[in-house]
Amino acid sequence: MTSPGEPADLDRTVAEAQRGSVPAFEHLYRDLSPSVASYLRWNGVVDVESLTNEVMAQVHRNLGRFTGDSASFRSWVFTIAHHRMVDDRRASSRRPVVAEAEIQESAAVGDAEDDAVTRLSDGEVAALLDRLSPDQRDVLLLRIVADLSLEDVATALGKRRGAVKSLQHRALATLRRHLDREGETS
Amino acid sequence: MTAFRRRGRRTTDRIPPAAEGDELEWMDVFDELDEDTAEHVLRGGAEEIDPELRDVARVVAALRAGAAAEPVPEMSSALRARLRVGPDPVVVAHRRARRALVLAAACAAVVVALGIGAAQNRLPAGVQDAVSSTAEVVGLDVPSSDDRHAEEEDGAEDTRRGQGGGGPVGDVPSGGRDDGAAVGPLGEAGQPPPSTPGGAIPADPAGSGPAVPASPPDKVDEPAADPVGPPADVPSERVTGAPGADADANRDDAAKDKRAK
Repeated sequence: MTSPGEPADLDRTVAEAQRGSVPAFEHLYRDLSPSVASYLRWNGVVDVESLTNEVMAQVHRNLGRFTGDSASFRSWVFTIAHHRMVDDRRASSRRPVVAEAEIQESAAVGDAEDDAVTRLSDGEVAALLDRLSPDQRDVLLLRIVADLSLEDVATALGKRRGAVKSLQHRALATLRRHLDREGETS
Repeated sequence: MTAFRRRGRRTTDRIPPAAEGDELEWMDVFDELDEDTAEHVLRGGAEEIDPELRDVARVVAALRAGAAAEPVPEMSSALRARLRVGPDPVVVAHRRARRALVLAAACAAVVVALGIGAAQNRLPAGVQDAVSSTAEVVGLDVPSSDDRHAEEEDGAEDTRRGQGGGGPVGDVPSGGRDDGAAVGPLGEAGQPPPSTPGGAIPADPAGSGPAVPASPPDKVDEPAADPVGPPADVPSERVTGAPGADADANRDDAAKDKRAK
């Protein structure tokens, strides 16, 4: 069994999983579930582990219907994840909320380091993402966390490439504006 | 209240509220953010980009780092059980596709059969009319059942005409007599067809059939080609036209004259 790190290996692993190989699917699970979980977490899903398992179960169930290469497989998986996340968002009627205490704590840690190398804390990032519209956040997370191309994001969200590109630009501009404002106030 | 809050939230998301004096600056950055720059930012290449976008790159880096540090979620027991079952068989989709294919083929066969039957006007009247009216909608000329009745009537009329003497060749058997009831193409009513030179009689009353050679004149006293004989009101000599018949008639006339004297 090969590790699904390279596209060719991923293609082979997907093919084996489609034939019902449990080890192959476990490889896919280990490879993809952290990204899926991260995407769900940044989108404010509360029970990330449970929803990730549901996503991967649906991936396994529909695996026989998938046709395409490794890139389209990743896009396909995140399409499922996005739909499940939207369902979960509707069901819980929650928006991504990060506790104020967590933000304060993270910010305190960030202040102790040099700005050039400081990583923003998860709370700060979550607070910034909360400033974006749901569409802008979806595009940004699928581009960064899921590592999808503009075309794959457009496919996953059911939008045109131009619309996704526009949402991406607005999201980056909005982030920059908020970061500038926070820099001025601090 | 909820709708108002949602609408207000969405509006602020789409049109970010401008702080004092920074509208133009924000728009400038937005316009300058071309696709290549955006790609650099999203890949985390903070060193190569505009220092003003370095903070955005930090957010991207934080998102990437968070995703990389995400632990593998524990596989649930439901998913493990699911793995033992295996993926849903694709056979279901194939079966559906095959069923759809068979259905389409059957529909095509029915349409072709109906088309052929309708073109030949052989369908039952109701079906023929339905197909005809449907085909007329798409501009095809398919005969209706009324056309079939008209054709049948025309055929019956032709048959009657043929049996009445004016029909096609061969309606009357060869060698048959003309009883004078109908008008043939070669003779008037009540008159037999003219004899051919040398006593030959046309085999066909219509005159188009091959002539039957007559017996030699010296051996024929009675019209050999007319076994039934001429009509009662027609003199035999006119029918046969044989030279011996004239002599007999003259003899009869002389005998009558003698008796009268």
